[in-house]
Amino acid sequence: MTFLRVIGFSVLLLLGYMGFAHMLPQVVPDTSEPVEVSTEGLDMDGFIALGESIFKGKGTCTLCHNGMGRAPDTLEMDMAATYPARLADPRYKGVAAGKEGPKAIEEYIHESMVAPSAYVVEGFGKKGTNDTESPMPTVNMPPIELNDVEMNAVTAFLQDLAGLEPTVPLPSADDAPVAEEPAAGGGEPAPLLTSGEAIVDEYGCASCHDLGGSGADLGPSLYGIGKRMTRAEVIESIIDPNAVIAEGYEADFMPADFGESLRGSELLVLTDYLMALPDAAPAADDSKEEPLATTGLEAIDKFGCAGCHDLDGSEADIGPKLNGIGKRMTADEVKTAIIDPNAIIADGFEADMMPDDFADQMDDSELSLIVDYLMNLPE
Amino acid sequence: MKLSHLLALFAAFVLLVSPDLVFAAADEAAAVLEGAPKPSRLDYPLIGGVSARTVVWSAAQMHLFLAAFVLAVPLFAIATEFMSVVTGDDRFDNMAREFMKITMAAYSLTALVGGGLLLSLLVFYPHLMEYLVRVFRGQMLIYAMLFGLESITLYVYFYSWDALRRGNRKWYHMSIGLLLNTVGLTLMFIANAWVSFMMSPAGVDPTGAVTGTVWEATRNPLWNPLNLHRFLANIAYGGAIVGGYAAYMFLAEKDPEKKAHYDWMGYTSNFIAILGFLPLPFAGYWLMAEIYAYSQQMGITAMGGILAWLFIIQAVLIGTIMLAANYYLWSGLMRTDRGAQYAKYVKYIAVVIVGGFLVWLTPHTLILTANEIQNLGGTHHKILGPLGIMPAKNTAVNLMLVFTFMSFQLFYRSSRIPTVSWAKSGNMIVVALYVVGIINIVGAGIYGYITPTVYKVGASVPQVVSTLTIIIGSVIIDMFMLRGAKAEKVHWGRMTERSQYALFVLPVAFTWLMGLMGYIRSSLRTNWHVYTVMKDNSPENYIPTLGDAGNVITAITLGFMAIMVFVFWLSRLGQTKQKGTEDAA
Repeated sequence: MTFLRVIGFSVLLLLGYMGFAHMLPQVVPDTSEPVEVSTEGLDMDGFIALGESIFKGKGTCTLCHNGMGRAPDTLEMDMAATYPARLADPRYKGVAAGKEGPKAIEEYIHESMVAPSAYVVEGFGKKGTNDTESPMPTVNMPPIELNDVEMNAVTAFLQDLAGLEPTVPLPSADDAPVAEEPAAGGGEPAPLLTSGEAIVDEYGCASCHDLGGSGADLGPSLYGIGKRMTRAEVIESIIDPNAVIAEGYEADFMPADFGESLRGSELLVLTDYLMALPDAAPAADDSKEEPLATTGLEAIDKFGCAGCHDLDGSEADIGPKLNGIGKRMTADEVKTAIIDPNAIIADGFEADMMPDDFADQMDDSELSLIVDYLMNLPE
Repeated sequence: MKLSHLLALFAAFVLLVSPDLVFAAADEAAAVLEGAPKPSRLDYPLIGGVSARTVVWSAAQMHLFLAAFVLAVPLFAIATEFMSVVTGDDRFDNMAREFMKITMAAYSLTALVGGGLLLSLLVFYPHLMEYLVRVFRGQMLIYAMLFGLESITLYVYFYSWDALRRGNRKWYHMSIGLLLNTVGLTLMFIANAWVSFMMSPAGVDPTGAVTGTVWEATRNPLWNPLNLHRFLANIAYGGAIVGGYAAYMFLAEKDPEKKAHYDWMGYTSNFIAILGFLPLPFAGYWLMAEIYAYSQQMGITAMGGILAWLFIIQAVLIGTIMLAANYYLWSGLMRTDRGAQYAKYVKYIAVVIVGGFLVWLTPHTLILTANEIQNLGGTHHKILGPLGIMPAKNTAVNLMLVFTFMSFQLFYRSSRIPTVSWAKSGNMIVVALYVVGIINIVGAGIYGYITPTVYKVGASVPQVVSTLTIIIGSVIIDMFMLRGAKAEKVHWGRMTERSQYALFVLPVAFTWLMGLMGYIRSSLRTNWHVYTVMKDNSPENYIPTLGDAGNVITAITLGFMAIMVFVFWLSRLGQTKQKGTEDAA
């Protein structure tokens, strides 16, 4: 009995540790193969965007260049004033020493990537080296291994950040492609998205913007955006949605992490797709003309409910969670909440957030299917 | 020792330090320009859908568990053997012998699993093995030879125990034990060189071509921090497993005399486990500081990136170890008649230990989704966020260590009444040591908040110094003050059954923790076999999720527990005699 008690106790303890490991957030690895993306024909706006994506992604620059004090917080500092000051610093003896202007700054940035110890900003050197040796890795060497095009893209981004016209050359057909590495992490495959439709679908843009006949109006319609905004402005709106707020819309509504979650090439593909959208939704996109949904799940997908509501793990939180709604509301209340969303507002949520024209968009059979589906959703 | 023996030892040392002097001369010219292999995904053997990584992971971890035990017990044995000589108490000697007997059974299993590990590496990762052999050359032969020497010294040490038990012969026996431990530690240091080379390669150029000596590859930036960390961890681990064995025997025995013996063994083992454990956070801190110094990216991957959650599990494991070890010490107060007068302090110590545990558990820099950031109101929690940074955690860890030592000191004091004239002053100095030390630890912690990041690390040094000063200072004062003290009777065996379960927590948590740390250490290389030099292009080159890793670690730990049960059973089987056989003889 003693033996069994001891073994039972030990096994329970082990299972407790294992259970705790499962309770914590799981960082799912990207197991996709590296993909090479051609940069041929990229204009400077796209190149800058690519540079930002590399700066925050493959280049891993933001691991240290942030507000934690490990390296200068490049994204927050006034780089327009900082670069000239660095070049004029008597401690700087590098390739751009004594020079001025954007070209000199390009040389300085490039040097800081390939020879980080050429100049170490005061207070950021390796311990005990009196700021003569930088802890920064050489970015064209392993493990980062940026190629010349990628370093030029980062330089363009940093020059643009300082309000300068980038002086780096745009990539040509002879240049090496950009290597998109899968993120080091762990688990499910996350394939690189190569079409605008796939990216829009993956990131749920049509849940808030009128796109593909969604009729959503939480954000501005994306139709005709190519005529209202430049390519650079579209990229900026995706990466930094609060930088410019369209009239009639609110700040802090659109997720601000697309710059981190989208890969560089995906950002460019998405931008090109949006720029090429027609001025208005084509008639064929009208949802009334789409085939009727025949199951609750189809209807939910068709009207994009999971874009705003947490539904089967979508984790959206613009509207209340839908799992378990059958325990909180009756079928009639759910029906009312769909066709007249302002009639009942759940605690912690605001009115006028949900489109109020589902009654027009949905067939009665689709409405019934959705209500039945939601009422039977588990917690 | 004869001169020829000394020369032989010196030759062995030279071979270890720089075996390429002898072994690598012929092929070095050919190898010097050849970079590390670059296997493609298709170059990795796929055998019947078997997960190569899981096989190698399991074999490596199991080998490490067994090797840690087999290396730790002789350390444990020689220390207790020495105690028997110093105190003249045969109980120490008997205990040391009892545990060497268990090591004998575990040793062959260690070799067996090590062979399995080598085979699985050769089968599944042939290119990596080819490269490591090219870098370390003759050192691998030295390793094999030392393994043979380890076997010889182990057998001689154990089987000569009774023949060399008394008088000067005891010193001969201890010398053999010392040699055994020297060889064992050397083996560990060599294996550590291979593992740390994979994390921080040295003696090779950026393409992986061998440009330096074996000694340069051995003496890579993370070798010594890893050596120290594993050395201390082995002591704690060995103590914890022996403690678990003693606890089981305590529970199983009915004879009060034997129960008392196993209670004493459990106490001594727990003491050794804590002794090894107390400096372990500092060794871990040094290791992590060296990782940051070698590669900030690697450091951030561990502490602020995709592996950050693992350190929350580590905190839970160490927290349970601390709580269990303290609970056992508090329970021990009932062994002495004067223990009750110290029991009133236990609740305060418990508050500090639990409070420190909770601070250590508080996360800080984590990968968050947009929704999580929104729910949290920022990237860090407004109230708890400040508890997640290093100054708070360092303060918590140091206080936990100081108060764990206090728990031990209370029990030690409960069985001794000082008789020296300066006892009152001595006690006041001890109290002052604690008060000043704790103020210093808390003060340095607060300073850590108001100083730039680079100085936060520096602020931890006075905290560590304060902790060590309290511990070492108290031990020295107690040593003199309790000399000739009136000894109170310790009622060995007067312990609750529940307290013995605290002793089981230690080996279980230690084993799982070692598995977790192995996962972290290996994951730090991300998708590199040898960081920045040889890429891992195998289909399983990604970091598995925490849950998946938890499953594997739990399975390996269960396997190790099963092996340990078998080893303990074997050692008891050796003592069992068939009824009537003695009469027949």
